[in-house]
Amino acid sequence: MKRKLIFAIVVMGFSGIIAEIVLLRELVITFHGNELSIGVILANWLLLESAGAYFLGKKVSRAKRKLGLFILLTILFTIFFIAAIYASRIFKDYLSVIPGEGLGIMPMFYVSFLILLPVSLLHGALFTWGCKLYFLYSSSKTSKTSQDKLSAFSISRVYIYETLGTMVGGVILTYLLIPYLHSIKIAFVLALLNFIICAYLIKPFWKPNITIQKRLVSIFLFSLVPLTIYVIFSSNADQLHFMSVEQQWKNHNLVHYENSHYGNIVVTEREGEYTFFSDGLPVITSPNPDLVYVEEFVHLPMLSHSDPRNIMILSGGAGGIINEILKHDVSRIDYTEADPLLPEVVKKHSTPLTENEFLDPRVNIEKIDGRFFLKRAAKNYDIIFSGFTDPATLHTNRFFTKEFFSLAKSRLSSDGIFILGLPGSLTYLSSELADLNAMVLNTLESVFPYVKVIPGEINNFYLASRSQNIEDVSPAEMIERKEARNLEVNMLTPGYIEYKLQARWLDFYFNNIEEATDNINHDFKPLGVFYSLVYWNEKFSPSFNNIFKQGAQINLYSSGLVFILFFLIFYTISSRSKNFRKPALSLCIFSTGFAGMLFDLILIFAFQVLFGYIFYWLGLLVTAFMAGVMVGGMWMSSYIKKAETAAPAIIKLEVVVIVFAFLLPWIFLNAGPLLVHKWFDATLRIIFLILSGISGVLVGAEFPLANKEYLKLSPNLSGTAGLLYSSDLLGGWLGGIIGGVLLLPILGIFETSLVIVMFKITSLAIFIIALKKK
Amino acid sequence: MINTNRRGFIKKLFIKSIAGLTAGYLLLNSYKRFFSDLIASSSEDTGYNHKNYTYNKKVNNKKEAMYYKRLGRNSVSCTLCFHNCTIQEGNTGFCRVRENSNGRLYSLVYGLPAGLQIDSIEMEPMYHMVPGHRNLCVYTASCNFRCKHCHNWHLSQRGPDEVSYEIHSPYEVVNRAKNQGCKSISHSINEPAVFYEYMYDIAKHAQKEGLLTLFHTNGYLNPEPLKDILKYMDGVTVDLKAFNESFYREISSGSLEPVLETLKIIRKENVHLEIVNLVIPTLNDDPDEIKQMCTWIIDNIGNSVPLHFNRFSPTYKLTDLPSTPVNTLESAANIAYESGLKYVYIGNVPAHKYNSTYCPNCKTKMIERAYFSVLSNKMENGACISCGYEIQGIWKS
Repeated sequence: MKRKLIFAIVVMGFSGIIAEIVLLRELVITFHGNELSIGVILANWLLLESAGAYFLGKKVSRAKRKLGLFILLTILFTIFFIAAIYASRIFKDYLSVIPGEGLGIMPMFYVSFLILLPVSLLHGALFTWGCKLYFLYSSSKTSKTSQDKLSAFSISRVYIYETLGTMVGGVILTYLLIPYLHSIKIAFVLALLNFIICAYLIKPFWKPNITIQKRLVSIFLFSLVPLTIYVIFSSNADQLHFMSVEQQWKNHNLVHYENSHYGNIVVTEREGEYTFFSDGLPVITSPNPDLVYVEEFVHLPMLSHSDPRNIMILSGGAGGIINEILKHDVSRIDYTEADPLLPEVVKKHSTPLTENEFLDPRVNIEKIDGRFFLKRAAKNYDIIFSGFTDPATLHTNRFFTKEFFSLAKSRLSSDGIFILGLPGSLTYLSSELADLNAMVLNTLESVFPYVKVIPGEINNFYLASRSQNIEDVSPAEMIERKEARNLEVNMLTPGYIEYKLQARWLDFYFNNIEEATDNINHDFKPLGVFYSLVYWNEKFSPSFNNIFKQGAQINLYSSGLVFILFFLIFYTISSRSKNFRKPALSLCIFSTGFAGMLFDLILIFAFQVLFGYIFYWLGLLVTAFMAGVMVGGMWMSSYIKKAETAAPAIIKLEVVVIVFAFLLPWIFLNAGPLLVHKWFDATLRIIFLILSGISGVLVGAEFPLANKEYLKLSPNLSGTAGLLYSSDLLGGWLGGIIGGVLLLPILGIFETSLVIVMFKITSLAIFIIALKKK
Repeated sequence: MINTNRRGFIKKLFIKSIAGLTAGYLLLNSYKRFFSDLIASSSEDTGYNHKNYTYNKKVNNKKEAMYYKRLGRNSVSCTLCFHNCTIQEGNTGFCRVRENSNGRLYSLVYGLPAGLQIDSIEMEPMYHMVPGHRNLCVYTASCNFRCKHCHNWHLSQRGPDEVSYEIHSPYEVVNRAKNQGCKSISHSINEPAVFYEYMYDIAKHAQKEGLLTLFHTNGYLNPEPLKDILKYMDGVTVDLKAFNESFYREISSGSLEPVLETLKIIRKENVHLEIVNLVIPTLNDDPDEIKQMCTWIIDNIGNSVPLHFNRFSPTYKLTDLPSTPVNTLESAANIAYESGLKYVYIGNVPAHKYNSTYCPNCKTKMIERAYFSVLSNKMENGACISCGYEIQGIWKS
């Protein structure tokens, strides 16, 4: 029986991660995929899961048919998962928004909360129930004296098996499921797996000596299996998928829907025009692109250069930009796109415009991270176009930093030009827009000796170069070049070029950014993410920006103060309780969950910065982290089986976490310059894996220890498992919601690690005081 | 239990009280901020709860409103636009910029433009008014609509204390226009009705100084103020956002009927009028609707009013829609031509053939445009150079 249960728990972990990632991806298609929305969705998941583990989980001790209810919870979980996918596609119909309207942070919060509610609540409860069942099935063999030892052991075992499931689930989902199946089918496959496990858990109906009731349940469970198989292999699952997708894209003629590792691509057709949506946002319109943007973005830099030959485009080239560049006499265009699916889908739904772009022998499409490509490029480019429109995520921010601009500079020919665009206006720059623009301008100016701003009604363009030519070139000269190159353009008439380059626009621009920020955007201090999110949020709930602005004030000093205050309050409230050690232990687990989430975030982020966005490696890093959690859990669970007390081990572990958090950023900060050596590149990747593993071990090791200590104080297994598991998740919740939006962008990687150090010192201090107070 | 250790007791008490006081203070403070934000944001997000706006007055430059009625108990009824807000003491109307102070209604943006910008007249758009001339544009904070696709939301969807401004009297505005070689002054970017008094004084003075005057409006003014301002206006551009009521209600927080009324009044007062229709995929691009609109225009305004079909691209809150297919715009233009309209344009598609003006009689291309640039003008004294057909519009400054 115990072995059956172990399987069930592994499947539970497996199902949890799949549900979490699939729902995140589905929700991001309807919400905007910026750092804030990802943070909000993940945070809701963790919050609800922790509530489930604690509140629903507690009920297990009083329940009569524990296994029966465990099975019921599992079945409900899988059904709600399918329903949640459906709901995340159609919920917009039931909100008072009009089709095509984007959503702000408030609806994002409550919609994802409601959709995730049944799924993650149930999944959280399953953990606690699993612990209790594991304990019950193991206890028959052991004597009563070692009950609390066994409790602690059970919880840690379940923790390990669940983590194993999570790890396997993550790998299988990314490499086997997402590339081949749509979300609804994935959910049905998952349901099948869970139904099989449920049927396997109870006595089969053909065995003698079981009650009628149990026999019926068994028949029901066994009949679910072929039914689900039928749904998967018949067209029913596909029908459900198409029905929901059609409703999600109603009023549109949907011609393509596909997922890649990187996200979702949808193509709609309307009156002969194709619009390509990436995660719900339109990115390409063909054959009639936004000519104003395309012509200005391409020809202003191209005409500023005397003879542009070698061109590089970082993302966004297809659907107009390449076509315009080809009107000049160029010899080669290198075009990178991180998501390989996008160029493929554009090719599939081709129009004369894109066909011309893709078939031209001078165009070389690289399906690779642009920064990664640029770093390895041996060539010097005459013009580098950056097609990223804003630094709204940690991923895209890498194309707006001082370090990246230095790289771009080093890959430019002596009079080469780097160009990027940002949202702008010629009538009024709000302070949010001014900050975003000023920050990028400051960053460019810190690298390039010459930066030319061309303000615009929708886009401000920034041309940067090592050569003074970009500043010296006059509108007359540009018009001459246009005539000489025989450019056939629609909008960029000689009059328009003169108008566009009038000095008064610059006066307007510089007047408006006068009072804006002096800050510079760095790889390891990605302020751009913050300014971008504030600007985005300005559209939907401007008053929330006051909170952001307060948040922007954080520094090490103020966070130190917060922790001192927290310490005092926690001490004052908890020291009165009989068992001060109990809250102290959950605080330790909470802060470790916080640290674990941030370690994960920092490692993934730093890896992207140093090596580029390589999906395969990011998957490896997460897997290494989960494997670490498992190893740590196993290591300590065998330790607590023997040891009488876990307190000294907890103290040691806390100290190790503190030291680790302190050392982590030093490695990245010093690694960058060394990366020029080839041997170091490979070594550093291995180091990343090891660090990921170690941070996993640290997180995983603490959980069994804390359980052991806690159970000494209170023998209630389900209460303990629920409380500590939810503390762990809540810590992750806090880390997730403020990590990507506030801590990393405002404080940077180094100071964020110091915040972890401070938090861990606080929890350690409280724990030691609690120990002393007998 | 009695604490025997006095020092320990005092120490503990001290620590606890300090912690308690600080925590209490911080909590209170943050909650205060949090709740006020929450309330403000919920009304901001829906845009409907317009009775609660209160703003600090940074500059004491309040000008009494021209159109309002005093009700009892210090409340007033604003009669400027179709919202006809009843405004309590200390509050502002839906537009955020008209405030009831002691039972009198004041404009909060008089003389406080968010900016003055010079651009070509085609930018308005106003194609039939001395092509290619420089125009000075005046705009302030706020609006009496809440369009979800507003291009200038930084200004129009903000209250007066959230937008930085300059200080210019109407005389200064007119002087600047003249000094900068502008032939006209327009009131646009945000809805000019919300700065009616300012616009009124500028237009009155500008006409005296020999400048052309115009405004670009959503047409949501009441008839009386509309007629009064038209006395000092040479041209009006009206956004006819859609020809269905639900679009106005759901996307703009207004309604269609008053806009149609406005169009009729402008025609009756004989002021040059151009109509803009931004075609948004799935929301107002139904050919039948466009046909109805064109028929209505011909029946009520006449067939010589220029009609602009503009291309939509995702902005502000309407981010998840495709740009308007050029084919949709072309079929709209064809519907308009077939209905009998003489001057139909396509905007936001640079160098499209319908950027240009054609003679309705002999089809000669008279004014060639690419985006906002005028490339050539083959018109003489407001008539077609080849057949002498008179083109509706203002051709002399």
